[in-house]
Amino acid sequence: MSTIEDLKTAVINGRRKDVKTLVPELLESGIEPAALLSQALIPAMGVVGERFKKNEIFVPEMLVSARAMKEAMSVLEPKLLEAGIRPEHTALIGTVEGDLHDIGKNLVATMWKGAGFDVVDLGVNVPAARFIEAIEEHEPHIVGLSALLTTTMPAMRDTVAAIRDAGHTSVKLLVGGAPITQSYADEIGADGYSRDAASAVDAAKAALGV
Amino acid sequence: MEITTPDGRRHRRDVPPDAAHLPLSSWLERGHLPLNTRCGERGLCRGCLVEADGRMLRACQTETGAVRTVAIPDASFRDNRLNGVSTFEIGARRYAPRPRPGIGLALDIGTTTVAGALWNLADGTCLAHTSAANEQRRFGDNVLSRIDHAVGLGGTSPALQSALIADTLEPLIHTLCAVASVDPARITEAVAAGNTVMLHGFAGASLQGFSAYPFRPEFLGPRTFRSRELGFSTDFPIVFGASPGAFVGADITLGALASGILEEEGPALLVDFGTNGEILLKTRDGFLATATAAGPAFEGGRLNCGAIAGKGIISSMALRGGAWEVGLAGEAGGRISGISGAAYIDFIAEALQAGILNRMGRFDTNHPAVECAEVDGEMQRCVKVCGPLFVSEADVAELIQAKAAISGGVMTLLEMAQTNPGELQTVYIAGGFGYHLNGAHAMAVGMLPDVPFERLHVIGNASLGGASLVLQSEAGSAADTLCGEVRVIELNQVGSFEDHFIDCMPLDRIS
Repeated sequence: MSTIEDLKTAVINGRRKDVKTLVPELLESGIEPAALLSQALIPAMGVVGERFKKNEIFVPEMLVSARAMKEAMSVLEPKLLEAGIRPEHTALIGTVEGDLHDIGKNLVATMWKGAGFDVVDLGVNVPAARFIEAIEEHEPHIVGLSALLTTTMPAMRDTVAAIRDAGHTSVKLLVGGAPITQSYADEIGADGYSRDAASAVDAAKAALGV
Repeated sequence: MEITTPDGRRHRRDVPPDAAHLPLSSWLERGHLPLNTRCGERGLCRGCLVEADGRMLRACQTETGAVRTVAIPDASFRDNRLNGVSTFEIGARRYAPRPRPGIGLALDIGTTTVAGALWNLADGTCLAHTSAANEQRRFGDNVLSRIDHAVGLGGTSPALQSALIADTLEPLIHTLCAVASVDPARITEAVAAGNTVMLHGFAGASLQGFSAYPFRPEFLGPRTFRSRELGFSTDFPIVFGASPGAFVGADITLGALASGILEEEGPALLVDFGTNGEILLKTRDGFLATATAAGPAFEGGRLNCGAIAGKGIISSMALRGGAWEVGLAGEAGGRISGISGAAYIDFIAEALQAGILNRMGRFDTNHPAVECAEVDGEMQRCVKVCGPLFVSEADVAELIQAKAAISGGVMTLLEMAQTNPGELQTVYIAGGFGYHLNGAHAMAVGMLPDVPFERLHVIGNASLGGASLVLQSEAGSAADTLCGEVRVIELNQVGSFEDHFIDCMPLDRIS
């Protein structure tokens, strides 16, 4: 019989197909969805993030693990919702207007889910007005803004300004993407910055003070 | 300031007051000591690392006035001895020659290198062909950094245009004409191919439209200019080939023309491995094309010992009896100073085969060839190749992402066309990096779909071949027609691309 530990290992090793059969099997055996999340998926992504930070694994393996995590969440999320379980923190994420890159942004979204956040992904090429609308709808604790091009960095600056101008002064804004630096984050008034998807979890926790 | 160059010579230069605030890299450039400012002096890479007053610093982030002594390592010099590729194979048969008096010039404007061929239009003989580094590299090593530079100036950069025309193409034409013993004034016409961004920079057009989605290039269709209006010293008409899209350029349409892909039934694939990797798929229903930004990794942008094929650069590698045997680009002799993208692919394929590397790109720590070494202040698992040159796990991870971007792009197009990789009748490999690439290794690491080896055709600089073909025949109108037929795919907008990209991460064959 499969165990929670098997699911954790499958996510760490990025075995999506195993995850796909393990999640329903474990649920059927009577394990609560919340337990799968807290005892298998969250610890698994914690291990992946730590290994990445220690240079034990690199982006390719992290992407493969994140996709296995995503697979598990696609089954689990509706069950959690059904059971009325809401994560403590909600995060919004999107790539800024004019920028279509989403692989890095998706990785951060998965790492945040792996840290137990409820994540609303707005996709790519997201105008500032759409961010503001979604902030009003979902009332998130944090908003992640991604830009992969030096030429779309101004859109990130404008989005941060527009969110603040709309009166959303307490929501924590985190920024990231290949050309973004800590000093740029400071310059545009973001609350946090992370250089990669693994440290995005730390940046979010630091911004939330947890 | 006291400057020590790699040959050990010391130079004393006075820093004028107006230069004290300049980045050290800009001031050295003025003094004819150009550094490898491949990120466009933005402090993002380690290309211009110098020893300044005893500390290793990025010259582009260091103020000239604050430095008294500087030592420039060999690796930080801009390499002006790049081996571009100016040879090509023309597989097309259907275009009738159009003999007429005159001397024709074919040009391929690449992001990293440019190439030219001089033709006697009366009898269709090639009088000379050569390539040179694109001097626009000082504004950054990829198209995005060039766009960023121009956008910073409001969209148009005269400096970018003159770096290409005065500093790159004029000397290239001079060399071609000297080899052919032809007076440059005798050139009667020219055809230029290149990616859309390069052609805009060539024409002095604004790059603003490339900066954010939706992309709005100033022109895509064929255009004719007078060379003198663009800033050349001699006067002749220059026809720019037509581009299907903002990031799928005339290089791929003219390359397709030369390859012969238009004349076969297909399905067939053309991959142009340049700084911008462009992919064209021909199926029975038409053409799909896309671009991937995989190039800079293969040109060494972020690899510890990475370099563009040139003098002193390893261009091929093989593992023989536990030792690495290396082949060099260009003539032998001198110091070996870097590893080209093609040689990295050899490394991965051979290390995988030997069990040094697993399919996720991790070294086997129990293998005697694998050692731990400090790289950039962090311990990393590495394999030594030759002298101080090594490949680290982080390098392999970069290369895996780059190869997955290409094969993920290919798989996305194949899926859209409902075609299996095994159905591909021909895979054409074009471009500078493609020219040195070992096709069997590229298939073994899953960079190209697995097809019988005889279906792979390495065709060299197909873009220059296409420009040459247009000069000599009626093929130009076929290129224009092709542009209208190509459906350009923006991979980031195809939902399944990410899945294909991740599926292509492991070092498995793709079938």
